[in-house]
Formats: sequence, C-alpha cells, structure tokens
Amino acid sequence: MRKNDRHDKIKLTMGIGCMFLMSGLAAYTLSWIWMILWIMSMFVTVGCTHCCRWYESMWLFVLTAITSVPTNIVLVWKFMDIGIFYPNLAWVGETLLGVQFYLMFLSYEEIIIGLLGRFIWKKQKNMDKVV
Amino acid sequence: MKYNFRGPYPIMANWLIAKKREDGMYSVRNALVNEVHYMDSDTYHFLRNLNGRRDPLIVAKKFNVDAEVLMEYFVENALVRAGRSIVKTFSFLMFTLYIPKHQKSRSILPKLYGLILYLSWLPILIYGVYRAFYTTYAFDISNMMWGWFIGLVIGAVLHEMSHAILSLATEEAYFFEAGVLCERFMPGAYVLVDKSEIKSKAKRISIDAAGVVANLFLTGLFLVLCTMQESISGFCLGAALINIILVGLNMTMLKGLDGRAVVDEIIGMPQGGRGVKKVLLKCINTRDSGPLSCNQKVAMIACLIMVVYQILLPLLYINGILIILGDYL
Repeated sequence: MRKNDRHDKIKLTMGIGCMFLMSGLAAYTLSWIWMILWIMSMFVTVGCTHCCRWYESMWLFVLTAITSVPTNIVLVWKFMDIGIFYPNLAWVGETLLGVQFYLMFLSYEEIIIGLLGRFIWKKQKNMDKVV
Repeated sequence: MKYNFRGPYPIMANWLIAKKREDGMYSVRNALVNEVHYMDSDTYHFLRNLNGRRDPLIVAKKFNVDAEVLMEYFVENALVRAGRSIVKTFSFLMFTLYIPKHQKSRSILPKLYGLILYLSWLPILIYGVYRAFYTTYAFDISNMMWGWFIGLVIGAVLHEMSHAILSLATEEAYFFEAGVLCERFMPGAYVLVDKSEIKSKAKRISIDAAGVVANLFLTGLFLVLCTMQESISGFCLGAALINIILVGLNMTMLKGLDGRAVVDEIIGMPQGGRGVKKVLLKCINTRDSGPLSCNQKVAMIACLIMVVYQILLPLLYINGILIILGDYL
C-alpha cells in the first residue's frame, strides 16, 4: 500500500506539472492543440492514479480549477479586450469584471470536462462517501 | 386534486408524495425539504381533504382527529399551504402560477420533446452561427430592444417548460408546479421538480440541463431567422443575444442555478441545500481522529471552490449590473 501511495504521489506531481506546462503553453500560444493536450493530460493523470479511483469526477473538478489558471487569465484578458459593453471603465471595475468572467469561464470548463469525465468513468462514488 | 386558492382555509401542499405502506400507515414525503412524515390513515385522509374550501374543524370531526394539533404540525412542516405564494419574505418570494393535474405522465410526447431537443440543439446552433457570420446584409438594429424583451420572455418560458417536460418524460420524477420568483430583488421563474427517486445520473443531469439546452436551441433558431429576412434581423439578433446571455448566467456554479445542479450531479455532491457544509463538516470531524486521506483533502478543496463561488459571484454580478447602469445613465 505504501509503494502505491508513493507511486501515486509521483504520478500526481508529474501530472500536475505537465498540466500547468500545457495550460501555460496554451495561454502563451493561444493554440487549441495545447489546450486539448492539457485536457488529455488531466484525464491520463486521473486515470492512471490509483487513489483517484471512484472519485475521478471530483479530481477532475479540482484539477481543472487549479491548472486552468493560465489559460483562463489569457481568455479573460482577450475577452475584455473586445470591450463591447464596457468601453470606458476604471481599473477597479475592470478587475472585478475580469474576476467575474474568470469564474464564469471556469464554470463552463468544469461542466464540459466533468461531463466528458462522466462519460468515461460512469460509476462514481458520492462525495459524502469519501469520509 | 383541484387547488382552490380563493378558499379561506389551508390546502394540502402539492409537493407531497404519499405512499401507503404494508402496515396501513402512510409515508408522506415533503419533496420541498426532502423530509418524510409517517401518519396513520385518518391523519392522512384528513390532510388530503384540506382543499381550501373545507373547514379543517369540520373535516377533523369526520376522521376523529385533533384539528388544532394536526394543523399546527402541518403548518410547521410545510404540509399545507395557504395561498399562491410558497415563500414570502423580504428578500425571497415564490408565487405559483400553474399546478398540473398529474405530477407524472405516461405519454410519449414528453419523451419525444426531450429527444428532439437534445438531438437538434447543436446542429441548429452551429447552422445559426454559420449563417450569421456569412450573411450578406447588415442587421437592422432599430427593433433590437423588442427582441431582447420578447426573447427573454420566450427564453424564460421555454427554459422552465423544458425542465418540466423532461421531468414528465422520466417515470421516477415528479413535476409539482411552475411559477415566478423574486430572490434578492432579482426576478426569475421556477419549476418544482423532484428527482430524488431517479437512480440514473444521466437522467437527472438531462433534467437539470434541459433549460439551458432549450435556450441554446432558441439562440440557434433566432440566428437562423435573423439571416432570413432583413426587416426582422435586429429583433431576432436581440432575442438570440439575450438567450445566449441566459445560458451564460445559468451555467455558472451559483446555488439555485442549473450549472450548479449539473456540477453537483457530476461530482457527487450530496443533494439538498447543505451538501457543501455536510461534506466539509464530515472532513473536519474526521481530521480530529487522524490525518486526512488524499481524497478527503480533494473533497475539502472542491467544497472550498464552491464556497468561493457562493460568496464572490453574487457580489460580482451586482458590480456588473452597476457598471451597466452607470454606462447607460
């Protein structure tokens, strides 16, 4: 069991590092390929890690929230650049609006990735069973 | 049962699901708060006979029960209702507009509606966006505001109808009522649907997501219409835009919205109002007896993400509204 834990920790560390790298590259290059690779790396990490078993959806939820930070910041920045509805805004209002859009984009990503995850791993335990 | 809200007396609540047990007792589940009450046959039939026009004291004599004690119990546990408003506080109002005759349906029509909706929304949306991008004329935006308003009404009605129809398409679900609400001065609509007896997560998610899918369908439809005739292009564009905004707002992970319901089903958050608190408290209590496991730590992080949404997003929405008002005033 201890060997499994050690292997899981190594896999998770490498996986999260990989995800951050790909998310950062997706943000830097604005390339769909890196975004797809980021999502695939998340699924591979969660699928290969023993401790995630039966709670893959929960892990995907948390990993999406953490590793999507670079991509979402760039997405919000590009979206705010359009400035259709809010052409003249003080920096405080703009920042708060940016945070709002960030949370909204994160919601959509969570739902899409969560549904994909549920499609792959149909049997999941409820969160109150984790205790 | 016919609901006569004009009567002077209380009415048995329409969100109760009663089942007769083998021992002759009745289990009455209050689907609003997901509580089960057990009562004997006389008490249950006394409750059933409260239709707004009958005096509870006279009905109680027929079933030989204590009306005052029972009425106090029923009122305390929301087993009866007095009028069309379910909740009526300073910051929250729910007003019933429609109560169906039957809470379930065996008709094939709801299933057909669900199938058509889920199969057609994406092709229509893609086609609408394609046509909008490649249209040759400029949109006439003079009547766009009417499009916003009427698109909002159609979008809201179809959204709630889709939740109701998809619940009727599922045998284990119950559709209790539809109405309008006002929460913290924000108007909206609602349908009361009970999905707790549905075992399949896919069916539960399809009911939760039905409203948003209907709005996406409407967006695609209005985009197609706005590229067909120049005179209505502004109107249809406004309607399409308001529907996509409804989708965007509804799919956020704020409690009470469809996005949160879908995410709760996906990650397995316990249903009911206090799911996040329940999981967090369980993890904190377990921590006292030893270190947390990997999954417990991740569960706590997931709950904290939900809490951040609950606290931040409403404040940011208010900020957004103030910005829009500031721009236009």
